[in-house]
Amino acid sequence: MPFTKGQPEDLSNLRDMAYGWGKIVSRRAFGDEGPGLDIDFDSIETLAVDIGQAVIKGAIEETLKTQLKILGDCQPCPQCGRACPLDTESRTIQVRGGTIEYAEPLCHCPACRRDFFPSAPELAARLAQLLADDPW
Amino acid sequence: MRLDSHNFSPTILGKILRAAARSTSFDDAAESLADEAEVDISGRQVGRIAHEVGEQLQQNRDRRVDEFQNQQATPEAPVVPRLAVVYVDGGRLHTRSEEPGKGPGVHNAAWREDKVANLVTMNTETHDADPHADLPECFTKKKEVVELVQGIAGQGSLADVVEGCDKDPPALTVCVPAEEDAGPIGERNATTGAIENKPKPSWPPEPLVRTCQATLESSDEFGPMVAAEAHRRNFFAAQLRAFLGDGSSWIWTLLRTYFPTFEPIVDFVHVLTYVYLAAKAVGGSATVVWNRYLDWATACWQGRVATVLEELRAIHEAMPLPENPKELKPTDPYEVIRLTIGYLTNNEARMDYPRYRRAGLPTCSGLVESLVKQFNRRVKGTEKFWNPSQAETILQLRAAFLCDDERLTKHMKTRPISAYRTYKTTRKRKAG
Repeated sequence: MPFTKGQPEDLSNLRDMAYGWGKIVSRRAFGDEGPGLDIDFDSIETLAVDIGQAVIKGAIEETLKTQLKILGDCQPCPQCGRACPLDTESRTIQVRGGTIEYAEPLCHCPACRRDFFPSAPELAARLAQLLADDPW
Repeated sequence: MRLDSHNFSPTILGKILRAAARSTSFDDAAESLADEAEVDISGRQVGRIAHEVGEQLQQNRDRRVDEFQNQQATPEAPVVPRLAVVYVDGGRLHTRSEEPGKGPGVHNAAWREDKVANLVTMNTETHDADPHADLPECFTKKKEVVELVQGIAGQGSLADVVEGCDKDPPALTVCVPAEEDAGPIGERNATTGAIENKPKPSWPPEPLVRTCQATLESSDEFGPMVAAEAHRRNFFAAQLRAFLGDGSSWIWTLLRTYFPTFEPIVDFVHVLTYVYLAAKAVGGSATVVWNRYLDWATACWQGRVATVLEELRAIHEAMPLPENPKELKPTDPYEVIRLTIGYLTNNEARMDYPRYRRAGLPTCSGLVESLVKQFNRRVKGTEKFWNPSQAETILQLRAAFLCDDERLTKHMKTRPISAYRTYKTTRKRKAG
């Protein structure tokens, strides 16, 4: 489900770039001469998967950080519509190919005495309706 | 972001749920997730997530049933099916008491019936003449018939009639016309040696899309669930409509209440089972018994149930009356024949098989029998005793997994995620 929205239509350039990173990793790990014959396939695969997981982690964490900036400093409470300061809470999430650290956006509404996540699309829809009915 | 309180990405959550629905236990699911998907999760957590999503699916189902009953539901399938078939059957699972204060372990273990409906759209043709007037070859092979009878008679009302069997009953074969037995690919031409594709048989109908419903609730609750699903799939507008069951009375009550425009058909394999046991109960040498079975099975297949009933009644009347008719064992020949006469009499109107075949309708309920086995694989086992509420949620999860319409995946993509934080942060805030 990740990478289904807002992704560049043609990923071939990015794939080529990542393929190049793979070559660089190989050179850094084994030198320009490459691995000796004593290195078996399993070891090579393990290294590649490990590096691939680091790419996954980096890509997701960076994208989420960028998204977080879009939210700004305050978000309206879905219940009362009051602007609430945006905070984050660290969360570890298992994704395909490893785990990532996610600074999840989190707001606290002192009036409703509830914490809420300001990211779900349903929330945006509800908010729009709420604001239309009763702008604060 | 579609992240819930569990620390898994939506894709991983989907994998966890499919593993929970597919595996025989939550621990098995956790093991296969660790091995195949490299997801680190305990069996208990798999169970928690599975029940949570199963409950959501149950709520969705109940909402659809309410909409159907309040006449607010609209069919979601854009295409009107050519043939819509509803198959209904029941399985069994072990439950235990949910009463609090009893401590860990199994208390008040009991068998409960889970009711399963298989809703299938099919491709079919109608015929001027009976497309398969002869008894299919699979019903004329002794070994296969005995296996079928053991499979059927080991369950339900006939459970006590056959001798106990340690092994699981064999899987039922769907009724296949005799001509198909040579193989589906083709035949070698005698002169040219080339493989020639055989024309596709026009009967039985070809299944297209199936969805299913399952519940531990009573048949009164189950009826609207099946009807709501049939309505959602536009079954009531189908050109041809059929309703198949094994002959249990609750099934026909459900038909009369919710599916009055559907053609009721009693599963031929169940008829065959009764006929075989009756043929055996009358007695005689193995050849005599087998020939008697063949005669009666052929008569039923060809719609001559009245002839079989006439013979059975004559035999039954000629039998000496037992001393204590109320204390007869179910295996007693007198009782077996009495049961068979009752079954055939009650279902005679739903056994017009030649007409069903001409209309392009199915006559066997193997599709729901095998679906029940697919449910059993998940919920039934010597070590499995379910809390009734949890059995209901796991049935919903398994049903969503077994549906051809990718119900589980769609649910995971569209389910509402709460915008609110649960207790965790509040506790932290209070503490700090």
